[in-house]
Amino acid sequence: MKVRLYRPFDAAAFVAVLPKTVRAIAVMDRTKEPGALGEPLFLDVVAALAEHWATHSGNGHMPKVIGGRYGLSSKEFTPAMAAAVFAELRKADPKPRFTVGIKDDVTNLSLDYDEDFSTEADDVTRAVFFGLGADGTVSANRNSAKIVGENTPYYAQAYFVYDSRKAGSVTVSHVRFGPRPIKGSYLIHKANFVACHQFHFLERIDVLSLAVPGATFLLNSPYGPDEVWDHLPAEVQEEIIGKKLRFYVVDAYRVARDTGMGVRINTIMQTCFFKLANVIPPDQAIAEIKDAIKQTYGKKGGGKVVEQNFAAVDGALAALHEVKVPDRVTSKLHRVPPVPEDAPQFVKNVLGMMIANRGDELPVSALPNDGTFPTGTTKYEKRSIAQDIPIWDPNLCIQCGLCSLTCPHASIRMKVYDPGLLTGAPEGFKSADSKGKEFPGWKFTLQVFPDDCTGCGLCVDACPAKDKVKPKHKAIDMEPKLPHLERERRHLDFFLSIPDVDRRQVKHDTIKGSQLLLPLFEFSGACAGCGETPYVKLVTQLFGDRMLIANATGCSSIYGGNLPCTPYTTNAEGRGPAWSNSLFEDAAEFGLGFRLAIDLQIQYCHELLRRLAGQLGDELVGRLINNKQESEAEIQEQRRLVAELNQRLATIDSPDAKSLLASSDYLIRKSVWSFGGDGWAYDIGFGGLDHVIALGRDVNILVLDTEVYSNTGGQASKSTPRGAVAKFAAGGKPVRKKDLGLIAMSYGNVFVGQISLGANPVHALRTIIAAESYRGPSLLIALSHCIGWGIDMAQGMSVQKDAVACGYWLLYSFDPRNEERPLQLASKKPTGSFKDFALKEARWAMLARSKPAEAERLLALGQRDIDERWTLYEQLANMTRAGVKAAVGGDGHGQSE
Amino acid sequence: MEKRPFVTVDGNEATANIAHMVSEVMAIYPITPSSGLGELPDAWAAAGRKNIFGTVPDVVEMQSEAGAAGAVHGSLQAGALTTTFTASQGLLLMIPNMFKIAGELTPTVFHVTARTVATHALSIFGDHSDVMACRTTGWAMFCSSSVQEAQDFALIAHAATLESRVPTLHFYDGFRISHEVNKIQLLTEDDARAMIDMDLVAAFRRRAMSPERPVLRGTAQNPDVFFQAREACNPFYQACPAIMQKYMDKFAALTGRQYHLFDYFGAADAERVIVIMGSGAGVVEETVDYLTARGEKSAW
Ligand SMILES: Cc1ncc(C[n+]2csc(CCOP(=O)(O)OP(=O)(O)O)c2C)c(N)n1
Ligand code: SF4
Ligand code: SF4
Repeated sequence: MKVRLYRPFDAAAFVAVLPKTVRAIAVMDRTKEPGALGEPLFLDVVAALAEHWATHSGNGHMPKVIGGRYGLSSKEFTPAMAAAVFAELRKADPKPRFTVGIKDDVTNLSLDYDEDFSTEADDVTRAVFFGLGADGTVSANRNSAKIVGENTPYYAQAYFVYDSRKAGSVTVSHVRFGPRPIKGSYLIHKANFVACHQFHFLERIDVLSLAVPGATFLLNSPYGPDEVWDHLPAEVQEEIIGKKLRFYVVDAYRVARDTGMGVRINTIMQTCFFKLANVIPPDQAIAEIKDAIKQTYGKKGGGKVVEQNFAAVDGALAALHEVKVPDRVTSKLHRVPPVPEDAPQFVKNVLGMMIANRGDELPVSALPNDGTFPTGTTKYEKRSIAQDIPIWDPNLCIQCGLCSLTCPHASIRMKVYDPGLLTGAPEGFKSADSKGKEFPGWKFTLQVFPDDCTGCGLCVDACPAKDKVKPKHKAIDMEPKLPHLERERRHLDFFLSIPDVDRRQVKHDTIKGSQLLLPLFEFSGACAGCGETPYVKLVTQLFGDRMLIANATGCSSIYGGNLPCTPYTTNAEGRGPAWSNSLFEDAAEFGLGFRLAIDLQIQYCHELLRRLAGQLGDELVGRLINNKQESEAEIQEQRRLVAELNQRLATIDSPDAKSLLASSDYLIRKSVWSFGGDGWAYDIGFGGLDHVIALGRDVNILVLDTEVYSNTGGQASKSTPRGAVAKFAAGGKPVRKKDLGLIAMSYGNVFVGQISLGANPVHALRTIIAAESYRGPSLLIALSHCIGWGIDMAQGMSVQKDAVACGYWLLYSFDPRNEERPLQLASKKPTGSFKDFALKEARWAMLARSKPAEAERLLALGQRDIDERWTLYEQLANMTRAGVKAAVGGDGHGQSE
Repeated sequence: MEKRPFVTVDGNEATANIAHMVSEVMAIYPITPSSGLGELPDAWAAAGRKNIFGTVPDVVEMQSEAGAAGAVHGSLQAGALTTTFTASQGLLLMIPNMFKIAGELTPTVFHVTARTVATHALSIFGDHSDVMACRTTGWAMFCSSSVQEAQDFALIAHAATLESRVPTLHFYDGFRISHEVNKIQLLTEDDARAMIDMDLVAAFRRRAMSPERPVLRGTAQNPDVFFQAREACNPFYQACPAIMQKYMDKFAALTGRQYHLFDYFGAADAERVIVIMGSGAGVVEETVDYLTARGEKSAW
């Protein structure tokens, strides 16, 4: 029975449509109410029957009613599961409450179901396509569904499954074509056509598990029909033979290259699909594809684009070949395990299953009951997605550290070390003498992480060391990965075995010094070349071993905390950022909560220390309470003191000693951070952010300002600049960007920094350090380039430079501790025009194309915004606070504690 | 043991007194009729009144109940026993965080003076429309129906949640109980110490976020595992009623006042029963007494 009108619930009407013969009813709720007697629909049905069944049926025997949960968070609900529910109802003693679609081995509520049960009809084409987020597979399939649905009497259904990684994400398209309306909204489990658009997936994903015997398998392969067999993992060969698949290959990347399509393979794969699947006559399908191409590209005046696409379609047919399948498995290659053998148990048994696309098989007991997961897990997921990686030339390198600072993925790192450590280095391991005075006689190595690098190219763009003879050659150059891979892997293993330098020996406020600190944020799934992550990584290098992060929802919470793996990690002692995401709107308040709890616990520890001073010794207690913990050395000293304290506490048998033991960690100075994007800070979370900075407590807020809601696809926020096109501002944003920093400065006791790693890394680094050291509220607004800008991401940091040069992005810090001139501008007087800068980015250039006059007007206003702001800030920076200081007696603007 | 004096106070003061004793952080925001619940601890803290742990609770006013809930969530995650007070529209603003606090099995108590949610009109007066809007959040919902119970249940709730790990919404009728002045037997700090199990407090602190032993919370999950992970909390809900009863029994041993998950009053052979929650219960009780004295078989 289908419920149409849920509320108001017409109980009599509900009961009236039930046959009087009904003996058992299962009510399916797609929600969960922990602690309730049952889910809402179930309770309504029970109440309706209790009231109306006797009258309706003429007898008092109410049907048995059971309640089930299914499909939470888009969990699959299939005919096999529906059949299991009917089977349960047939039992004399069915489960009164159940779940279906999972394996619950904790409360045993789940129903077993027969995975082979299928209601699929033979005359329905059921095709599954594995692609990359960026390779156009999804849009091609959307288009195929339209072609069949709108040009033939056939019915079509298409559904797309994405993972949440931003770089290198896998998409699976599920497409059905059939002669009758397609009713079942569920994924294809019995595919008669499987296409794998990326050859390297075969190594990691079991793409053929969905194929039925006799299905067609189409593979985008760099190897032709005669050689491909030997390049397949044995498991794939086995499935092809065992299921008697018809196996075809096409070298789509070659066809794309040859026809001027670059890396766009979607049309090529689509053409092959129609040729093989025979849903509609291939000739008709190809005509339709060409028609669609004309419609898409014709109007953009791209006669050439249309021609290239046509050539790709024709080229696809010529390059499509059937593979003669041998009758034996011959391959020595094997599918690689999702995580290395030496990974921790939880990573292997739980996260590894998720990485291998087998998370559905995990039972309830495998998962934490309160949402707590280990950190340091991206290092086990070797995604190896780069085509090119940076290769280091030690002779040219000036050891500035800019590459490492810039890398969004922590995939290029440096170490200095005693030359003695080089014994046992693998052949060819590169090193140079350490430059500079700090580490005389030591060695220096820059190492790429070849399987973690995304190939974004930001590091090479940042590298200032050019060869004088061949200016194209820098101290690092992007080169094809494959020839270097094995060697770099060996080098990396050795590099990792070299100990990190003592944090006390390094100048944290120099680029090079900061880059000798271990990043505690690595290999995130952010877009290749992301502009947000370099800041996040840098902050973890500086404070990660004592920081807590309250992360607003947005890109940073997704690359930060989307299962299976998190980039937040720990150092050799097991310390690292403790991270949590509450909501989109409350990261400032959430972080404030951390601070409140920590301060209270410090108060508690001090109280207990004083109570126990007799047993612990006044000296230890005094040192623990009075250590200011401002320098790295003082913080390390405090850790030592706490360890000593814990040892003594363990020998004291009293409730207070036990309580202090549970809380003594709080005695080590904590660094509390809220992270989020501009959508959070300027819009939905602004009220909270404003309130939290006004409270005067020691919290640090990092705004990763991409000037759009990046995570949801680039909608306008109040940070979006004038004239820029964003979603929800399709006609160009008519008003100027909100000046968040100026608002925050109005409090007087808030540290405010506006920074750009690309434009002025030293300023960014020192401002971050100053902000953290301030024992009051700090707000850092960090310019973060983003794919949403429509720029060449490899040049992201250079774009930031231009943004600062033309005055579009102002660099400054406002430090309340500076009683004379708290506001210090780091930007120089703007040079160059805003328009020249803006039109290099699609967000402004789009408007110039679609509405030239409006663009002209908005860009002129944008220039005026810049000029006005510069005038204002220049004046503010020239104002001294001497007068104010006298009036309030010296400490009117200092930190609150 | 300190002596338990009799005092004549309103429901809010009776409750706030307990909240102050057993909390470390309170993030608050004013709304009638719960404002008094926050104002009293704020004044007590300003005067240096300590909780049973020996610290002065930190009472912080936020910019909204949404902000208060965010701060409470953060404070709980970082290991402080934290509470808040609200009603009606304020409670609605807390719902997003309440889902998360429950989903993370975090012990806490929110004290709610149940108040009408604005519909065709705003009303500052009492009914259960606000707390009923929280049914899906996964919180335990614990209703006291008199000034005495407001105090007693407040302590039982704070003690029990530490063991059950199910956060608890303790509510009583706005105005009718929050502002009713009645003579009650006051609980003492010794009572609070007797009820709060310090081993459970230590366990709570060990689960707190700390860079010394970092974990990741508040992940984003996909269809592959979300459902399974969502079912993993079931045992805590199954155990929760018995744990609540256990602390009611412990409370009874301490004070002589015995409460149960459901209390039945009236004739053992009753033929007509009223089921009711909140301040209306006292009304029915009085009526039942009256009627049974005259031979009616009624109960509540
Ligand atoms: C209350 C609420 N509304 C909407 C969303 C959906 N949402 C999630 S992230 C996001 C945008 C984040 O943008 P921003 O803060 O700029 O961060 P970015 O992704 O750019 O880093 C939105 C709208 C949400 N999670 N919660
Ligand atoms: S190419 Fe990109 S990901 Fe690779 S090391 Fe350079 S900056 Fe890092
Ligand atoms: S901020 Fe932009 S570049 Fe970075 S992950 Fe998000 S969408 Fe990608």
